[in-house]
Amino acid sequence: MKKIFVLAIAFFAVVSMQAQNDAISKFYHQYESDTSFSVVYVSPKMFKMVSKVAGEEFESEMGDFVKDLRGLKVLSTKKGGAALYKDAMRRIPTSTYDELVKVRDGAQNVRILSKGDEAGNLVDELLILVGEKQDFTLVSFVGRIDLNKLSKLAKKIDIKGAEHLENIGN
Amino acid sequence: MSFRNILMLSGIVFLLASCQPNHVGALFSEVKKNDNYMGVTVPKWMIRTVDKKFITKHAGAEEAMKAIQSIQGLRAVVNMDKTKIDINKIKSIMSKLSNSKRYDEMLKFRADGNDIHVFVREKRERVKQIIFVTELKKEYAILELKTDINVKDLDLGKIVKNVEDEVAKD
Repeated sequence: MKKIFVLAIAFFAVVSMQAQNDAISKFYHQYESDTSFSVVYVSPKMFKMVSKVAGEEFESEMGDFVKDLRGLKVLSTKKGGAALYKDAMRRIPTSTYDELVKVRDGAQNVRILSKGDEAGNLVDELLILVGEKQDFTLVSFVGRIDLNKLSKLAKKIDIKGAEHLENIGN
Repeated sequence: MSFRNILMLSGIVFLLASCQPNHVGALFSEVKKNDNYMGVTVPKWMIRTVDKKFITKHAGAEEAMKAIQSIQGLRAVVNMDKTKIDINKIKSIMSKLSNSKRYDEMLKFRADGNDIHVFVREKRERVKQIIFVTELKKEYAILELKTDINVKDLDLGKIVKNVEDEVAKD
């Protein structure tokens, strides 16, 4: 009986994790073919390949960070940002994430959410949502993400709201 | 096994092989459907004639040569007027390509009206085929590289470092 209970909980955890990932994927897939959106997708296989070909000289801050990534999705537009942000917040189960940063500055809303072992500064997933009156950006990183490394790279990432990443490391 | 049986088996194998859909070929055919295109095919022997001495003056020549020599063939097509192409048909072929087990969509990038997709076919850790599908503001281009290289043999760090050094020199 105990085993069944443990198995049921494990199954439920796996299914709910899948559902959260699916929510981001569904949101991304809904808008990726819309030409008013800028889109970036880097597959897990691509990151795997990069980590294989990365030699010693790739040990720059950016290289070191990229090597541990397993997926990247970026969706951004300059049209209907506020409505899209609202839609994203409604569809993505944000309560299952740890909130790293929340900013509301006039019309700008920024949420940086993570999942994983935050205590060790290593997380498995990082989600950045930026919504303004017109602009909207969603960035999803998957992999072993070192928040310290990411905070140092914040200035090099050319994404609206990325400047808030500077505050997430210790 | 009699000769007749061998012949029959070979026939079946040939039929099965030819039944496999050639999505890359379909992409090229679609882009070549009207007259505004320019196509080029470079065979392996011609690529082999690229002599090391042409590029040794640049840093990273060794790595570049390794990459060039791994190219077994190249073909490209550029359609100068994308309005005459059935983009939806191309998108449907691309979706079949990314859903097929043989190919992986490694990268997708869309910004400022430019759309780039990179597909890769791997076999036993060796990259066999790389396909770039590029939609620009007016043109549509496809580049296919037939290769035979293990990504581990390429030192990306060295290449990046050399390029950085060259840029710094300029």
